[in-house]
Amino acid sequence: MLQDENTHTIRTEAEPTADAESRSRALVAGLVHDLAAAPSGVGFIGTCLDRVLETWHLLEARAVISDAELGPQVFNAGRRPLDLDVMPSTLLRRGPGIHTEPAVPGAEDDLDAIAELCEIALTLDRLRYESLHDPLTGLHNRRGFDEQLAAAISRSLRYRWSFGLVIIDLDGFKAINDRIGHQGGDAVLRQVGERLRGGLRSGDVAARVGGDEFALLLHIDGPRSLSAILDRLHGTEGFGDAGDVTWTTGLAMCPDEAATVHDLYRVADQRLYAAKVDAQDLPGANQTGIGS
Amino acid sequence: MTAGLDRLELELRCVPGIIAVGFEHAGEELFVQAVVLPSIAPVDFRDQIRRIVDANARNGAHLEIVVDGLDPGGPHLSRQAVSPRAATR
Repeated sequence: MLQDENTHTIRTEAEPTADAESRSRALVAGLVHDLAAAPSGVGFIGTCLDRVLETWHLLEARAVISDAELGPQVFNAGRRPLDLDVMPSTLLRRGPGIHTEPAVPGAEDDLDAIAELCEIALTLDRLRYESLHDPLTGLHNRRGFDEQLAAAISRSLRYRWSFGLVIIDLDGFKAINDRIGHQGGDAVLRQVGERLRGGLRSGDVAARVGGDEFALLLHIDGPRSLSAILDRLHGTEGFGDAGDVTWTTGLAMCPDEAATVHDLYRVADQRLYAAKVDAQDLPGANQTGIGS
Repeated sequence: MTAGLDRLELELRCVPGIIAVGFEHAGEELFVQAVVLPSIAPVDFRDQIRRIVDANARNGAHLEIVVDGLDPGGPHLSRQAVSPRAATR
């Protein structure tokens, strides 16, 4: 609390009271509990800042968090876009922590504790993300895809919804690597990933499940529409220095043909290898194994 | 939708140089703001950001990339719309 020259009291900061201190402690305790159950770190940080706003009736609350891999990160309450009158670089210079407007005297320790929770949440989020995604393409990796696949099987069995697992194998990828080098090969994998990501419908999932193997979880009723979907995803343009790259695919339908992760892969792999054999007669074309 | 935003936000923050991400809903429309420190960001950061938003915002989004370069002339704003999927393919 400050006083001006005419002794009128002016409030420029939120005033600490015993009640406020009690609410502050309760807030931190509640957030510790929430962190344990939070499915998402960035979502948790947004929740933290919203609670800070509510608890102290503030105008603004921002978190500056330093992450070992991501570097410094700025978060705004409510995940709102930042007011660019205060550029994030200015906030970064103020250092890690929770920065509020107005300041909350007496709550520094609690705000520091909340900032530490946010830092833990962001690290957990990043580690979880890295464990489930392929760094080259940004798609799910095998582990992340299998989680999605298991959840899709459960829904399929419960509601009798059909979906297809499609395994995609790039044809002659070793030869492509030998011809244009591993960096060129990586560029092809990235382009395949981008085409899959960009072309899928909402709810469908793409993953890179092996070196040159991709997988799709497609919500389709059967194999009839598969060729058109795969043609659209593949596109007609070449793949940079590699030029034309074809792929061979195998489909397994859930629940009609298989209803476990293992069995779906087995059926799709069998069809993929059968299609590979057929492809020997038709080089230079995409092949799809869909069963009889 | 929240899970989708969580993923979008985290993917954007994984691009080196992105230091802040914000969202705003206006009816059905999503506005995405990404603030970038260009000294850390890869040269193709605009393409990377656009691809990530395009892949995650299935119904399209308006994207604002703010380059925070500690420039005394102020921030440089670059607005681009990531169109709804049907319009871009």
